Amino acid sequence: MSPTTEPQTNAGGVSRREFLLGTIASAIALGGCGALKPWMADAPAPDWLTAACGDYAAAARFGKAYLTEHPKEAQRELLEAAITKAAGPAHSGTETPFQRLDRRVRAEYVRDDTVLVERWILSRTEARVYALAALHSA
Amino acid sequence: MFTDARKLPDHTEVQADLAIIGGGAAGITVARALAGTGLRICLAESGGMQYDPAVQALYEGESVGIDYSLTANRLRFLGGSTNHWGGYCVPLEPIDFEARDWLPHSGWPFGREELDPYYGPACQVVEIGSPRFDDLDYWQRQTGTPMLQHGTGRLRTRVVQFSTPTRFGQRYRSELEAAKSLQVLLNATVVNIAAAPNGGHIDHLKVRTLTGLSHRIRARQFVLATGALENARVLLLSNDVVRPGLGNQNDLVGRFFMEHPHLSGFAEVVTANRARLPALYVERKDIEGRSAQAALVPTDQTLRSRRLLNAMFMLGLAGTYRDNAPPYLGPETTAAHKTMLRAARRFLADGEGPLDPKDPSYCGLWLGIGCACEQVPNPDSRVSLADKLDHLGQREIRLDWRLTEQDRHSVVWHMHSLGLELASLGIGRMVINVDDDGIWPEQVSGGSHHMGTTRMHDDPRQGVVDRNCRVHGIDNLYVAGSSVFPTSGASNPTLNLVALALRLADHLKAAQRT
Repeated sequence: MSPTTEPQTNAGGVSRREFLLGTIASAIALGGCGALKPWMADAPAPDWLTAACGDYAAAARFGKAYLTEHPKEAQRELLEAAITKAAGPAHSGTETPFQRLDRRVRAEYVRDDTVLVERWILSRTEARVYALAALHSA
Repeated sequence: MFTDARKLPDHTEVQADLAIIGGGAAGITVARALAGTGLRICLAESGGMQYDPAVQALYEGESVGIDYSLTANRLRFLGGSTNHWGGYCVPLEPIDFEARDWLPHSGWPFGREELDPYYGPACQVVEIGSPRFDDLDYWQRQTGTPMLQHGTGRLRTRVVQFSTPTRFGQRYRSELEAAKSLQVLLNATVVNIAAAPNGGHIDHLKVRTLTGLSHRIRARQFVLATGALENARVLLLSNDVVRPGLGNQNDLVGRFFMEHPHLSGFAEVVTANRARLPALYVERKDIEGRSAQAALVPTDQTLRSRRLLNAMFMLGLAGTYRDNAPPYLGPETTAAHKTMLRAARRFLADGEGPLDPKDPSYCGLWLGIGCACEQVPNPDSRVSLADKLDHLGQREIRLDWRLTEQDRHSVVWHMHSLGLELASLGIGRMVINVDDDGIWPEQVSGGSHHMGTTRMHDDPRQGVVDRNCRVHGIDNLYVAGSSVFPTSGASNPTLNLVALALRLADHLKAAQRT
């Protein structure tokens, strides 16, 4: 019913590290991403992530469940790049990073780009936000 | 005039031009529409003016399919099942009348436009406002609140109107009593529709009372209006001339029994900011003295492209979540709902911090989902006769209600669509408790909506009645009520069967003139 394709983590024979870097690079290139900056090693949770999670612990719970089903995504770089890419460019100069993310999440519901997490219907990006929260709270 | 059949001399013979069997919504509607036209009408009602357990027991029978109460889902006294009707009114949709290649046995002999002229009068009969069920501008003006701007293309809004509900027996009692040339025969159970020897014409009705009396009603025209379960049973019981039962020469009477599968606990929705969902979507609003509530239904485009059955959802506030409040749905489910509300807090409500500064313990709301679904017309879902006899010596009813994988697939798809729609509008998050595995769980129930057992089709090999609701092969026997529905849509049947009964009355008037 709901397409739940696995993320392509090793597409076209490219090494995983190359793929991750490429993803991050393309996310940055696509983005004009403002505050949605890619995660750097040992960096604290970015502000936009904190802002997106109403309750960090609650979000992390669903994030852990998502990662159990999608273990290949259990990497901060990959998740943040995917979220950043998904959020896309700002609609207007006044749009906050969270508004941009919210718009993207809603759009994913419109086109049924969703996953089931503990039977909850969640947009793919929303689930990844929670997964990133889980990794940061680990 | 009201007459108690128990007080007539045994073997009384009543003469009429038109005999109506059954005093429920359909029978009373036909009687009212034709009263005063010069026809002598006799309406035979099995019960009296009030509930009587002994009469109600005539509904007992066997349920051998999905568990179904044959006595709790209908009532046998004047007014019939309108005596416990919930009052939901919404017309069938145009697509419900179409032959859909993904839906076996679908297609009415006519389109919705044939019934459109009757919905206005039918609305008056059931005492609701004008038939503006799909005029969203009207409801928006009346409520002063914008309707949802649907984003997914999967669902759209209709508005259900609520009858008070009209209890037909009570509401129209004085009118029926006062009508000249109308006799309402109470406590008169029709046990046989007696056909002429050639089987193509009805001669009279055999009536019995629980006190042991037998009467006859002779008429020129007959209308069977006892509800979709009993209509089939009466035709099958009337088998002394036509062996398989009247109208049953092609083994169709009783087949294609349909309900609107009602689901509870299949999915739940949590929402944080009630303002994001207009009040008309979660509660009944009084508008111009009438009660109405918005429903969500699949778009035609979705039904066609995904080859799905129809459905209708209504939402309601089921509970409020607060910190330390007792769990509504058990500790685990309640905790999961609260956790989702906390996780998705920013997506579901504006700003940060407490959702309600005046009530920091407030976590959000649990929305209940009412869901009624169309079911596939299925010849194996059927009414037949049991071996056990009732108190009048008649074989009891046997019901084998069945649902299919196709029914299940549609329901789960639409449920998922509802979750997407509410999430895309920032209203809520849905948890689905069922899989698209084709298996129907035990908690499915019906809505006391009995349909399809004397289905309408122009071809006698595919239907019991023709487009005018006349039984194929019998020149003076008609069927009124939702038993003639070839497909059920997801709309509640009462308004629609009243519209069909008004149309039948027009046909009988025209037949009378010629």
